Amino acid sequence: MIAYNTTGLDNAMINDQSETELKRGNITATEMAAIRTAFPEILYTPNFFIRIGLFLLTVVIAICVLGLMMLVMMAGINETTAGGMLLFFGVCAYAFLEMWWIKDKDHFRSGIDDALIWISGASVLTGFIVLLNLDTATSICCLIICVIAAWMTIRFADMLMALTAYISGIAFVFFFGFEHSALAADLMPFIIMAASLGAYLGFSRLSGKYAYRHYENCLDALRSASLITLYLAGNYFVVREVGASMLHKTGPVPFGWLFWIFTFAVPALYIYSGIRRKDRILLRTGLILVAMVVFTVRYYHSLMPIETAMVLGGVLLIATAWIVIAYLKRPRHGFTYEADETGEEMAGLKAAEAVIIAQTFHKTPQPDDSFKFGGGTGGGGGASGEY
Amino acid sequence: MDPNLINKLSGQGLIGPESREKLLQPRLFSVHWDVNTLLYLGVLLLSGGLGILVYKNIDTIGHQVILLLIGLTCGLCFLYAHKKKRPFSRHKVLAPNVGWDYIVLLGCLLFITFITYLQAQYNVFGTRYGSATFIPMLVLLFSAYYFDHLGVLSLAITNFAAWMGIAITPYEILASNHFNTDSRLIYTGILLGAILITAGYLSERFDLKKHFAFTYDNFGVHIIFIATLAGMFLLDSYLLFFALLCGIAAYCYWQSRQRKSFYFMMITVLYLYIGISYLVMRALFYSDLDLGGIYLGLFYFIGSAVAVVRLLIVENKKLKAHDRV
Repeated sequence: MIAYNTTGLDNAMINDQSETELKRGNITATEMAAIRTAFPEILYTPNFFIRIGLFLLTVVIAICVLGLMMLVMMAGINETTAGGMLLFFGVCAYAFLEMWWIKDKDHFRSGIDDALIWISGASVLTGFIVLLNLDTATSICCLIICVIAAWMTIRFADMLMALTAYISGIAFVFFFGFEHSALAADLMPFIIMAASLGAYLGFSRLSGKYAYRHYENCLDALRSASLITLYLAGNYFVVREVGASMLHKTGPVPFGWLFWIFTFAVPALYIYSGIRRKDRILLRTGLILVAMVVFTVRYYHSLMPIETAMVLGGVLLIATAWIVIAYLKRPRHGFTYEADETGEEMAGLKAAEAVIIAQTFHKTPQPDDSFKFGGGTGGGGGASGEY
Repeated sequence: MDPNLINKLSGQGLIGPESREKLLQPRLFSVHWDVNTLLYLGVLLLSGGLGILVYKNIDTIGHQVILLLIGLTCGLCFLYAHKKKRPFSRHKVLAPNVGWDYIVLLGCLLFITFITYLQAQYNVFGTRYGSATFIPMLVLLFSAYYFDHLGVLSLAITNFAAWMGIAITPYEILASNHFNTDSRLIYTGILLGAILITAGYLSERFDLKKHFAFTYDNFGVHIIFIATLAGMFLLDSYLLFFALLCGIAAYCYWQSRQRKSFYFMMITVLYLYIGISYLVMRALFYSDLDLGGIYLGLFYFIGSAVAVVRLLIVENKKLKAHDRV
């Protein structure tokens, strides 16, 4: 199962949750201190930004080591040696990760372990593909990716790895069907829908179980991914365009009405059950998929010109948001408009929002080419003045 | 918090019965971010749609009517924002209600549109293109402080940069600034960065809207580092720019220690590392080591990256030690 020290993971989780509760004012500072002594920090997890830095640097080191190996072997390089070397490098990186950084150093989400997970996975995969002479069937490639990523997910509970494993698994089913049976190719939407539904139910069953508590993030990601593939497999646009490109069938899809029903009903169902069960994943996935519904409809039926649609959509969105805010002025049915975040997290989010605003709305009158800014040159002290 | 964990903690006597009661209360399901995203998308769609609508029907509506409409809406937004706002303070002031933030933002955006329209249609500012950007910038800056709005402040900063002829939004900072063809941009970038960093420092120093400091510094630090690195890569006096880079890095390091900011620490270390690595690579490139140079380069990167990893880990520990209450 998971590679990290489980006591350490539990302690980190307890400390995290208690800290949030401390900020919400539900526990006192003395209680927090007691919790901290009872569940000491075992794992090394640096700040998020330091993690990014360590990730980048580890990638630089790995690339240079690989380059050095290539340089040493330059004379005798061919497909077999290159593939073998990549495999060797990947296995070494993996061993280094497990034996040194995780077992000895107790690193957890430090950037170094994140980087090594991806480096070892990617080089083992490329090694396999190079050794298999680069002309394997797509389905086999997907299967290899799925197996490697699934292993990495089980060992390291990495969310992106879990998504990679799931998507490559679905891609394997898809390509395998097309490569081996004409009947499966025709029934592909239903096969993918069945697979996604099965996956969703399975992941939902696992999530919340004590034994899988360390995989909670992965299971959340997997649940939304399976909801999205379930929808896309039945979406009219996807069925029609994928059918056209894989089977060269053009024109309307047989049983088109069925897919149109799916296109409209599934997001509505997601949102409805998301609200019913207070399930954030269902709710947010449903809201995102509404955009896909709009896109699908507009692609085949131009009901109105784009600007009218934008204005109407904008008014609709603002009105909905306004109604929800007014309705939830005081909490009702367990819902609230109040943010869940503590003041500190809010400040960070506000700063991020400011950057997004500058990015999306920054179109301002720009001086054209004839305009030259003249004040910039001589002014800045230091080096620029002397130049 | 999960009920099992609460029971476990109170079973071990780590939390008292009072806290246990508080923790066991069912938590409300917050839809804050979902609703806010809808609102944000709504504003984006509506403003975009109206823009296209006006553009397509300009012949039938007429410029004056449109200008009047924009001006009126803009004025109404500012009037509403002014009426509802809480009294001014040197410190952070909270928004009176949810929509207010968006109204202020809308008013400012409409003002920019208004000025742009005036300039494009009636050439009000003539060939003094600078004032067509400078006036909105002043209004934005004033609004940012008056209404205490971080989003408007970042708009003001990007506008100020545009007035100086440089782009500093995240996507455009590397894509639209052609440092290689226009070396003047390098000096502009350094000057702009210095101004913004000074503004950040002064907000902190004189306790005037302290929470604006991060936004000033964030824009300022990136542009000044990127412009200095561009100077190192492209101009002959690369050693001078390197000295400047070291000076800026030292200042940023000091500031990040002062403010306990992991973010500035990380970017300072990485930008400085890029600068040093460039110097080493340059030296190796001009040496006649041939293949040996490539070997040396790879060894340099492996060794130095390990050193920087160690440095980051140590710095993280230092910052964290201060961070703890």
